[in-house]
Amino acid sequence: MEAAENQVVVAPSSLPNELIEEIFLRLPVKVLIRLRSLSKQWKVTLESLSFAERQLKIAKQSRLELMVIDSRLKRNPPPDIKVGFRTFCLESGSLLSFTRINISQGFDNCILVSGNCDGLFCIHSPKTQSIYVVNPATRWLRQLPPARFQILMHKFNPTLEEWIAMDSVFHLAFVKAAAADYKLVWLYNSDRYNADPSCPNQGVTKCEVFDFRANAWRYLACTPSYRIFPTQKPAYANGSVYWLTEPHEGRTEVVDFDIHTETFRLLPKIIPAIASSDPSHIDMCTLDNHLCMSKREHVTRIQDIWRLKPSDDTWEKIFSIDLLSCPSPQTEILDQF
Amino acid sequence: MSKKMIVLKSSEGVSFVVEEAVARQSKIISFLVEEFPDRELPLTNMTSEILRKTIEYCKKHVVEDDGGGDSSSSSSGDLKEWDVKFVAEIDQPRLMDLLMAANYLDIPSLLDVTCQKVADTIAACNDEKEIRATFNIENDFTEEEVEAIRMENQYPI
Repeated sequence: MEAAENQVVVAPSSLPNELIEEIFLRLPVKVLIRLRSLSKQWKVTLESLSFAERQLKIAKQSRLELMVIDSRLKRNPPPDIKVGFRTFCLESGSLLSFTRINISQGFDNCILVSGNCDGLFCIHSPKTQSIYVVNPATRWLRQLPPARFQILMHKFNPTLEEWIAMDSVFHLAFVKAAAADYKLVWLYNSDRYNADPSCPNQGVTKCEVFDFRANAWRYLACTPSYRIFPTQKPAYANGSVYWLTEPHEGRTEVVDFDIHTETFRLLPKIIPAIASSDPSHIDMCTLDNHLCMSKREHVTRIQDIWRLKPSDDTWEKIFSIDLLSCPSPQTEILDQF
Repeated sequence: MSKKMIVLKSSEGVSFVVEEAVARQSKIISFLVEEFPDRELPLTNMTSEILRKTIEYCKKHVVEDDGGGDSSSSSSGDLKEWDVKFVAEIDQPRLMDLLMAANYLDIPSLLDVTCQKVADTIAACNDEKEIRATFNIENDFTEEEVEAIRMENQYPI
């Protein structure tokens, strides 16, 4: 620090970090990105865990936004992909932001996007070996090493019929393990194809977990002995990831994976209407950090939404929606039936 | 009913006599007047100028509760307008001093308006050069480091 002469000029660079954070919290991401090159103290503050956590907290409190993702594939070489991220205000429906990220390589005609995790998304393809984590707000992205599943699929190069017969699970779960630490959890059916001698178990499912700190995938030894319903996206709530199983003796189960202990279990209680239903008629999602489920009722068109109370594994009905009396785009909803 | 007054003393030793209700918007002062009811409070790291500004802010924001319920001396819309004008009239170095004072005395609403004003000033700058000049920030990066950050910022647009 240079000695000031007549008067002490307090520049922001000499403010304590905590006050610099206070100021930065009031700035949009676009401006913040530029500020990283101003001074070392500013850069350190912007990249600090405490700033990230405070910013996330504010974002969560004011979250009345909806993120819509679309992807356009270019088939003829090179197989690159443009993924558009749009945020909408849920109240007015107006477009708040639009970012298009061009990922230059490595996707074939199958691309999937994970759910939102602290504003980050995982973009991957089960068929090729591509996995990226993207932050649409800053346009930051990181390529990850492929999962064993992807490597084997790539080698195996299945035909269309084989893909259909395999009925594996292409959706992976992108979850928060701790402050600024994340995990990818890929639970898939492996009884019909993709036997891997290096895997510790040879049951009907395999599970791979990606550790961002170690930058590596690893297998979990104990995985569910029920086949997973392949087209449903896993839901992530309250420290757990949930998948629906394929019906087993007429019953659809829910697999619960504890992110911290990395153990699986079946939920002990399931609403009877849901347990006896075809999993393709069940919707599973997260509301307010709780697992919620509903069944599409073809006849009554009344949709009940149930919420899981994790402390004692019980369910409570939180909404009952009469789809026929809904003023919303009904045709779109009815088309699904 | 006569209002209780307290004395705040700046770093230059200048005494300011303030209504207790006004000064109590600072959580620190609020605590101190309870611990030391009859003492004048020395604020050794605040200049008279900044202390005067802080008191001006607190006077405007004091909530009178001698009526029925709580009623602010101004409506919230007027108060917002007043706040904007208040910070607009302060130059950059003094604004930073006031921000520090708000933090030191623990006056959340003053901290909010001063931080917001600094954030708005940063956002209004056209480039890094302007931000550096406005806030007197030294560039402590090497050229290679600046280049590395620039690459990171651009990738993968």
